[in-house]
Amino acid sequence: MMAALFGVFSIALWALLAGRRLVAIFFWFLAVVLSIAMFWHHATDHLQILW
Amino acid sequence: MLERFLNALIVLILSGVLLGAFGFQFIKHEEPCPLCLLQRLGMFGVGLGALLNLRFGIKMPHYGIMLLSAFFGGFVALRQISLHVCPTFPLFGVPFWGLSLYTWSFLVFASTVLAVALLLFLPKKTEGDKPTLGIGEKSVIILFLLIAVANMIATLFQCGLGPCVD
Repeated sequence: MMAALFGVFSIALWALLAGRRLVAIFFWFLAVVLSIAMFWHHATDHLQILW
Repeated sequence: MLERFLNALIVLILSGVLLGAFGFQFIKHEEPCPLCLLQRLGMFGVGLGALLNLRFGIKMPHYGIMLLSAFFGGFVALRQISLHVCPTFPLFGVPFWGLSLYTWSFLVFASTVLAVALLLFLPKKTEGDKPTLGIGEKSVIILFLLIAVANMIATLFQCGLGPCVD
């Protein structure tokens, strides 16, 4: 899953190189949403240790 | 021109930091934790914003992308610092110049916010002009893209398709 996040960023950078601004911004946005989801998954894992 | 150069400089510094993290991973055999990988993603977000400025001209939303990415990365770094702040909870990984890598990472994101704030003071040309890319600027974009692809491959080998373990 984490590898896919780097993949999404690679696509964003590829779109940037190809001159597709909105595509690059869309994939950046997608990467941010997925990163927050991963962070949340990790944070709740740690919280479970506390219960 | 100065602002484009400074944006390229930010990307080069971030490339150096990300390559340094790779050095720790492969030379010192220090596998990155999930939070460390999320901080790397934050740095890619900051770099993407700066590269958008290089590729499509200086625009405010590009600085917004840099600031939001720095905010995310800084938040993750701060969480990792807080996880290890108790004396009974040891530091994660080998320190570099006396500070752990996630503390350095927080300093990188804080410096990014400061740098963007200072860049916003520079006078702006009228928006809408799409600059032509020089060979140097194209090389910076390709270098950053290659580092992202290398991270993807390394993370795929480390974690597979599932979530990374601590």
